Amino acid sequence: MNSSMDAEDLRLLRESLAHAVTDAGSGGLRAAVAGFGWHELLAEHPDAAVSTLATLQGEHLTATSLLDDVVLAAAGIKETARVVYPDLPAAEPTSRLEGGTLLVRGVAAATGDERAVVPAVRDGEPVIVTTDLTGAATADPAAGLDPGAGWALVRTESRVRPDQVLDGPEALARWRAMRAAGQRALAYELIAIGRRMLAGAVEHVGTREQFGRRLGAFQAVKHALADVRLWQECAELAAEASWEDDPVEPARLAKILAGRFVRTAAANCQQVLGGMGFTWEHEFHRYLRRGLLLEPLLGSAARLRADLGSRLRTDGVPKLSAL
Amino acid sequence: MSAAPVAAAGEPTVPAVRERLGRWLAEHSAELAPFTELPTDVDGVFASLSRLQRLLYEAGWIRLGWPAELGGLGGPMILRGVVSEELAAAGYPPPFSFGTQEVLGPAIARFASPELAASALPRLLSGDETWCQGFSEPGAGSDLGSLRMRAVDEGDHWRVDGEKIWTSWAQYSDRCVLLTRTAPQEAAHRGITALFVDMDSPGITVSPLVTMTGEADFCSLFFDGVRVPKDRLIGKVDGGWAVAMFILGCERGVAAWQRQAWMRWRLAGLVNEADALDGARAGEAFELVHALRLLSRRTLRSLSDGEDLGVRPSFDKLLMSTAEKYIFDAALEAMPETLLFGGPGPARDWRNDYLYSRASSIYGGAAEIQRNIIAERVLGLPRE
Repeated sequence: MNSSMDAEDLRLLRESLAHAVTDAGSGGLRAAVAGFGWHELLAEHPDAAVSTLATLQGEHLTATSLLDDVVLAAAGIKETARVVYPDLPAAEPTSRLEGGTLLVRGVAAATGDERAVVPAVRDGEPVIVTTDLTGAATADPAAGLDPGAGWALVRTESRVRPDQVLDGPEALARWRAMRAAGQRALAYELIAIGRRMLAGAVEHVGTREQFGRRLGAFQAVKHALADVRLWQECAELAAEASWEDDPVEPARLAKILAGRFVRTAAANCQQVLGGMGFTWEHEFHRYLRRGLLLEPLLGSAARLRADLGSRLRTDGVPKLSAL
Repeated sequence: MSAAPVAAAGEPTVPAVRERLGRWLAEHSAELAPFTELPTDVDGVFASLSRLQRLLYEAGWIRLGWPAELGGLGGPMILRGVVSEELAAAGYPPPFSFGTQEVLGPAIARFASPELAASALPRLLSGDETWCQGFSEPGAGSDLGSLRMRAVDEGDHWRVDGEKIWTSWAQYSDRCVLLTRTAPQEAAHRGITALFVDMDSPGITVSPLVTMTGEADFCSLFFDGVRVPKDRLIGKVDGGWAVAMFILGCERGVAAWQRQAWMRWRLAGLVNEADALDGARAGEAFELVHALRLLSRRTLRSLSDGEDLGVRPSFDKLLMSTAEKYIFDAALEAMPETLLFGGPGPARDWRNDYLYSRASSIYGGAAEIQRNIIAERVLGLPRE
């Protein structure tokens, strides 16, 4: 409805991009997506590009994320680089610039470009630092909850020259644009993850019988999944609406509602899946892992609600999504 | 009063109407000031809201988005959503009829004969008449399809006998949109007929019921051999379920739009007034109001475009009660002294709104019913 492309074009795009993603296999995603012309699409129709690809990343639990590409494009940065996001679950930079030393503390893609864009804080103000991650200490991604996701903690420090640092209002504006674009993309990815959890749960309770009837006929089960479905509806509408106004608040809200959806899905779907959902064989845990990892990236729902609350105090209740 | 109403003096588009209404509200703020604080008793509230309705009608605001043949000024239906929203944003209560206007009005426009609609609707819009909604019965609340009020075909009229309950504002109402049984009980929802009934018909007894807020917001109705003319049929004989479902769709969706605008205004007040309000609570309250806005905006747009609502308003209704309870739980948590010990004025409003929010997951179809609808008709889970 709000897309800059019409529904039929969007459907075709989704279909062909899905083929590209499926055929890419492990590690080949960036090349496949680039070959598809997705980056040009991102420049022309960011809503279509982000909503389709982020959704596919969630559905396929891809080993590579194009989040950096989305975030850099929003900041108008043309060169490829890795972005160092705030430590979980924060939505403000956790890296610091003190004197000429950059203390990198955050989360980034485990592999990729050596060049990195690091949103950081200097004397309480956001700055954007371009640096090099060669030899940077990243925690072993294989040790984490979701090694296949390709994300790792980054802990390093380096000396930076003044020409590597963007500061002032320009840095603030860029950081806000980067954060909003990232939150929006993550919202679509989380929604896709929640939808897969829900689809698995619906399939299970619609076929498995206990006490002589299908699990889905029990009202307790119905209500648990109806709640998940309610939050899906809200999260989807919020993601769509995040393209309407200045993106800072709508993107934050989209991420909050996507977080709520995926958390409710994780709890309620797992419960009704019973023992099956606790097995390695069942796909549920793969979506749970990815959901747990991405939900706090660029701000957990809990952290973002608190941030939003302080904004309401200082600036009043915003007017969004006009009729 | 022969001059064109001020509301019609310009483009009938959303931004133009918003701008015109905003200007009008600012220019008339002195005249409108008394409506920002309503009387405490239900009679006083009714009188006050009737005056507000008259004012808004004369200026034309509540005639926007209704066709001329029904007493309106034309323009897309979505303009009605703009008017209710701007009023709420400026801190005014929804005029008394807004509830009925958006809930019962569209059903009369759609299902009643053109003659009946053309005679009845203008009187609703102008505030000359008040309507009520005779749905629930002592034995038929959430299970509305099992209602028992009988309507028997007696040639040139229906003869109606039975009982209704929880009928909001019936003591002030001139007409009632009434659901009756016209086929055997076993036919359940397939044997229901909707009628448009004059509340001053002989045989109707109205008994106010006091709610937990202490005010008689609703009534029980007894019908004893009430004669209803045949031309008061709404929809088809035995086809009243479609009318009822359409009304419930409007109640769940459009009412949610008005409610979210009001909740946003209440939340802004809470953020201002309550220093002890926890930041994350405030953020979550806004999250819920925002989500409700998006759901009900979609419903409003669908109605305005003449699309079928399907079961989507069940999402709106379920979230509406979730959001409303959340906000007033947060208010109680942040301002316990005000809510629990405060005197008249704002303290009383917070207290009343807190108590009233408790009913939001019950009226118009309990939250359990909405969850069943979502589970069975959206997710496709087995029916009971």
